[in-house]
Amino acid sequence: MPVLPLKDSFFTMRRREGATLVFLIAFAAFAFIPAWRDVEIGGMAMFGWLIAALMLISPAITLVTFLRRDRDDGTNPDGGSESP
Amino acid sequence: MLLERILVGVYLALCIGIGIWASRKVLTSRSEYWVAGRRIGTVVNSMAIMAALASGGSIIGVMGLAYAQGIPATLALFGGAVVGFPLASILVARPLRNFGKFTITDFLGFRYPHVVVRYLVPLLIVIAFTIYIVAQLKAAGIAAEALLGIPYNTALAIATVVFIAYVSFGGMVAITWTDVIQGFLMLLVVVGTALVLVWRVGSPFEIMSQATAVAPELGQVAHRPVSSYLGYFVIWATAIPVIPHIVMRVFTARDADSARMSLNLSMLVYSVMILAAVLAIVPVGRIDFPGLQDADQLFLRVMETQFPPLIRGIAVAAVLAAVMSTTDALLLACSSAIAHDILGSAMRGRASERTLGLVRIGSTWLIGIAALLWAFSPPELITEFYTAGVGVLSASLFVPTVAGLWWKRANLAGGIGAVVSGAGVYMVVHLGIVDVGVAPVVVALAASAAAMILGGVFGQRESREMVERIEALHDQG
Repeated sequence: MPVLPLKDSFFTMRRREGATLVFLIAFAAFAFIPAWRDVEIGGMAMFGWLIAALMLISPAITLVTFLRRDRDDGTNPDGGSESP
Repeated sequence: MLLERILVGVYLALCIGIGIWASRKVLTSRSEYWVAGRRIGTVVNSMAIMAALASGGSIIGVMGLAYAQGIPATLALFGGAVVGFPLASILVARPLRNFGKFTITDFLGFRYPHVVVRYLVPLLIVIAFTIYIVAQLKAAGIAAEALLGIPYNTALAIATVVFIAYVSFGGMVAITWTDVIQGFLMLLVVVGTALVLVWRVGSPFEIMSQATAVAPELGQVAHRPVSSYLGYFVIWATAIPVIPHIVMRVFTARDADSARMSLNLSMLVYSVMILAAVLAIVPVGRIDFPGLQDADQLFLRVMETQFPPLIRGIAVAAVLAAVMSTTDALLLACSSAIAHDILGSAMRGRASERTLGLVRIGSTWLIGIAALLWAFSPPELITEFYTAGVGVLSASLFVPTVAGLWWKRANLAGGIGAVVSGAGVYMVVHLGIVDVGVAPVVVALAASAAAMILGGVFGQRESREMVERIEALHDQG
């Protein structure tokens, strides 16, 4: 059976969106590191602050990603179809 | 309680009025009924999405949970849902909106054309969402009984008939506009309350400092296994991109970009509301009411002691709005699984649009009444049940949907295997038949992904035509 190269096995995701996705997953994984349970800042465990930050950062950074793509699309015809 | 009852009565009458107004538009068109004609703008859709996610749990439950189990654990649960929306906007919103149908089953049935997918998926949706609706109805009944002095069963029946009426006759148009009103009401009450409390005390940091001085456990991570937090986080983060009542909102957007923007805007608003609740209202409540037997009473107690009757009446309406804004969306999604996914596809071409319209209305009433009857004597562990319901959907639908949109090797064998193994493994592990020491959803998602990969590698290769059609969904504007 012919096997597609890994890169060709997937539909293309825009580079900035892929980077945002990786960042969000990495941030979430970082927040769940068990050590943050015992570190307290302002009376609350660091784990709580990280999740609170994630709740605000994740939609905000994704919005910025989309807005920047729209702006690039308006000025650079190639800006919205970058390869991963 | 007269003022509170009048305010709630006005609010319920407004919902029915919107349903009657919307019914003129939607009863003769499937597109109008299921997806509001696909012309909902970004801001309106954002507020409707926020309201659809923010159930009674997002007002009453979030504060009770933070009071009882601490703020960090609570944020872990609600943070998963928030992260799910950016994932949805990147992974599924554009191609699904470009696909241009009505439900997640439409896409999966197209991508994996097999009777198992066509009927198993809507069946899982009906089961999971009926349980979810029962949980919401129970919350509405308890809130109305506590806040308005109306007996549980009476309150349940009134609230249920009201939202079945406006959903069945007004479809997605009615849901959208009632959700917008309900979303603003929730936001106003929760954020407004938090701002008033912060203004009285001085700053959010001062509130937290005072609260954790008397109750340090409020800021600590409760000593539960990491897998329990991770499990809830993963369930919601992976459910949101595929959960039917959210996916239907993607289909209502006027275009793919609007759908993606509204998913993220909605979560910014939702996060502000949740953080205002747990970082301002909960600490103040923890100081004022140190020994609450029922933690879910916290918000109501804070409102009783800090605000006059008029504001309390608005707060009651906001709690009911939170319940109804989620329940109406669940009801429409559940109804679509029967009327559109199962009966509609079987009857299409043989039944008139008017007959299909009657099927839509009948399905909504059938599901609503069934949920109402169950809610008269609901199971005690209803939250566990509905989280399990959402877990089944996440475990069975996330991999086939995302792989179907992004992996060119995703094929029929992989799709069927992913749906069946995801649902099956989740149930086996969740019910404790097999104990693997890891959150059930994590195991089930791994099983679903393994089935997809095995099917894709060893099964029949997907047709070039299908690959090109999926590619076109990514390329459209």
